[in-house]
Amino acid sequence: MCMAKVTLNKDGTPRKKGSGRKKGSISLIEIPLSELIAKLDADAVVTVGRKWHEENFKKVVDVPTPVEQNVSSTEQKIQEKIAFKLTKFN
Amino acid sequence: MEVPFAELFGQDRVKRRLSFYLDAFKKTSTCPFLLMVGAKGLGKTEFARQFASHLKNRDGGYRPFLELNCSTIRNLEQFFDQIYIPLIMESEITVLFDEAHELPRDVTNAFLTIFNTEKDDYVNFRWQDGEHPFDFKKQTFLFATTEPDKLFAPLKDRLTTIAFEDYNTDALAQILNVQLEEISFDEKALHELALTTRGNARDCVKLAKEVYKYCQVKNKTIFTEKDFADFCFVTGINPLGVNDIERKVLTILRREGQASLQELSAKTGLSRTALQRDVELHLMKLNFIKIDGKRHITRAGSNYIDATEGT
Repeated sequence: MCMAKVTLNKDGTPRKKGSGRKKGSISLIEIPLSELIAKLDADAVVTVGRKWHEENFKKVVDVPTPVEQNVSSTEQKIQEKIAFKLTKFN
Repeated sequence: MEVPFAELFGQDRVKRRLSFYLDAFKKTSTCPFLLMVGAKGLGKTEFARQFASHLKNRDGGYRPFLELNCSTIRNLEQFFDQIYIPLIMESEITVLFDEAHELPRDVTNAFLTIFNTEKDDYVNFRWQDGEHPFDFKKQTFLFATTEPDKLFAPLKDRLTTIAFEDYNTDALAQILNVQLEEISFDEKALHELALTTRGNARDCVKLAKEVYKYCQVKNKTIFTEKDFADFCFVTGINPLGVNDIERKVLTILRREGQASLQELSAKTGLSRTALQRDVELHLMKLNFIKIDGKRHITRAGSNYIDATEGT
């Protein structure tokens, strides 16, 4: 006989049967962005879904490996300016 | 006739030596490679600038003076590209390498060759297929450092050291007087003010600005002993220039009787090095503490805390 898989709560006790979100039951709704813009100012904090945020704002992009140019570290250092002060006496 | 260093107070030994080198320069057109050594605020750069202002070119005009901050020099190539070729080569000029202990190693090594002039006043330094002439009748090189121990010893051997001393109270009082000509000082108040600058000319100039502000706020043209006490109270300056951390160390030592460096470090939150370098030196100089493994407050230190308590 096949037993149903028991899900445990954080304190180790078995999760009560039937608890949790039912399929299709979502607490999010869709509204036009213009409604939000009209209601909120530019600095307002808006709660968004983590997954949605990751998908839209934290996309992993391929960062091209910098091509090694034929410039030695010594040559790079030359670009830094030496601080000096020139005084002319009359 | 213009007297060299007439505008600068104190450092009489330094003045004598530099005046001698100025006289020698008039006859020989050369100057030793001088290394100004001393704590910060003692006037190394100012004396170098004044010295340079008296060096004349062969056509009678005054030489320009180039001050370089050595901590910004990264390597020899950068030095030749940015400084030597555009500003020094073929020019008559005085160059000061300030904070010379920060010179990078390859520049230091090149200087060992360039400033090795036992016979001639001319060195042709060959580097990277190029020739870099140094004519010491046209170019004068000065160095300054607060940390001579960090200067590469063979380079230091090629330089002539001019040691700067702490300013005495009279010289500091003169500096204050000159900076604050419009204020008349009670002699004792001026003396007490000078003592708070801890022998440091730069601090003295900074203090003069504070005193000026105080006199403006209080609408005063005469500064008395009473004003000194009030000035210390409002600005938080302690007599003898003891700062708040040093005062805290004295207070701890008086309460505890004695303490190890580690204990002082734990109680003040300062590192052992900072305590030794910045705090204990001044307190020992004032004879306020003594160290025999443990740190102890002296009678003078204890009296100081009594006298300044509540200020």
